[in-house]
Amino acid sequence: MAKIYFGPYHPAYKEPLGIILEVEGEKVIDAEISIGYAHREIEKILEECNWVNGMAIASKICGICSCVHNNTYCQGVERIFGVEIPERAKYIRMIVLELERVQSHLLWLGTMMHEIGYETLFMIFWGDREKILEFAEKFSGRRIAWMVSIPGGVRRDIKGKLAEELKKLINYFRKRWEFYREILTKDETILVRLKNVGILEKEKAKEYCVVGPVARASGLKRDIRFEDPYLFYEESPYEIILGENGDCFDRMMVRLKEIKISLDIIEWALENMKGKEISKKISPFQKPPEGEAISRMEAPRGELFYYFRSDGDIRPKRVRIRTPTFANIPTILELLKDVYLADVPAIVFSYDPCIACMDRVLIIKNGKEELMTRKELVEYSKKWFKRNFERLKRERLCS
Amino acid sequence: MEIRKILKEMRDKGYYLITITAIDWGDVFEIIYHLSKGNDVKNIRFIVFRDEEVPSISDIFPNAFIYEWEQFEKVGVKFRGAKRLFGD
Repeated sequence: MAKIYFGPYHPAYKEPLGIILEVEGEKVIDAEISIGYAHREIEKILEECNWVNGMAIASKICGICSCVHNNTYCQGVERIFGVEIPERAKYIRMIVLELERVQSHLLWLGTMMHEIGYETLFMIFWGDREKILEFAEKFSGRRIAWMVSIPGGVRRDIKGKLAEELKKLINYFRKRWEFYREILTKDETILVRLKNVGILEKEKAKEYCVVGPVARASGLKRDIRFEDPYLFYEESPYEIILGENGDCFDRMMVRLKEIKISLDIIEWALENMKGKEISKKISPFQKPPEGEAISRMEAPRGELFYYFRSDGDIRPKRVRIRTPTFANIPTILELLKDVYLADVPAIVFSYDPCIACMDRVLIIKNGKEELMTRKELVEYSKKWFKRNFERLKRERLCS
Repeated sequence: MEIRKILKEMRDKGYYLITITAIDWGDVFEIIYHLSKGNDVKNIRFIVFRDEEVPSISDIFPNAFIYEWEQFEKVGVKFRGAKRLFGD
């Protein structure tokens, strides 16, 4: 039996995570996690900032899903202060949230293809994602961490030429979506790597309180836009997307179909936007009433939850943040039991972790330590699949 | 034991555990269990003394152990029976 350590550090990742695997031959027997390597004490820092300026800290928690952190924080502060934002600001918030969802899912599709070995598809998905980041730079001044929302509303408006450009972007992505669906559902290698791999049953997903596309792929109707609608999601053309088997392929298809729904929602918001005012000022020195508030939104990875407690001071007494990847960690460990070692990258990445998990692999064989880099593990995975392709095709696609 | 009884009832009614929050009020800790079912969010609050051990709910909600260890790191409240997070 060998012990393999995945992680924890890699300069390319935003947050590291260590996973320790016990391996016998080609199969993984057990898995454990090791976390805390990028502990920044954001919750403590937010207790030292005032309510309004804390928005800048909250937006920097994650680079890929910064917009949803920014919006959830602002929504919570508005609930504490009892402020209702203008209608136009709500439509703009919906547009930026869905635009972020599209770019996050495209980023994930690219990294997933990279893990499988499709470098060209990785470049295609990330190249298309560039168009969203270029638009975001014109709109908000930043490529990532857009910080469009401020407590009380939004700081930029979408109208005139900018709105026309966004419409052209939506039409471009509608055409591209057909190409994505064609290639992801027909290619044999992708199907063998992802179909019937890492199956998470609906009952287990419910027991472990799983959130996001992982829960929806297992058939669980868990989406804050569906269960507890915020902004104008109830009136919008939003539809919940569910999977059937709960395997890696279903998780990919749920994210792919959500891209299409997001494009519909952005178009609807652009057409129905009304009003002129985009924000109501909340002063950084304004003291809120005592109390508590909850704010939750559907991030690209699942339910993002913020809890605020006020004791009447210009600084919060407590800010509690629960990110969706953290909520899904226990099930990653459950799914890594009794699987092929070569399937581990696909299973872990199908969760779309916002944390690094595979940068360093330490193999202990007969008391000797061997160091494997992440690239070497992915190469091992590709070679293993090449050797066993026909057998796996019979096992996974013909049943 | 009250904590376990109430949370078991909530689980049987169909609520899922969002997270656990601990607030340090000096002499006491305020432990809040956040549960959700649809659009209903319940914050179940318990006050415990600084040195008191809180029973773990990892057998009721299998995902609770990560939140219990997170709050142990944040304020120092001990959860009796919580599974270890670290690999060694």
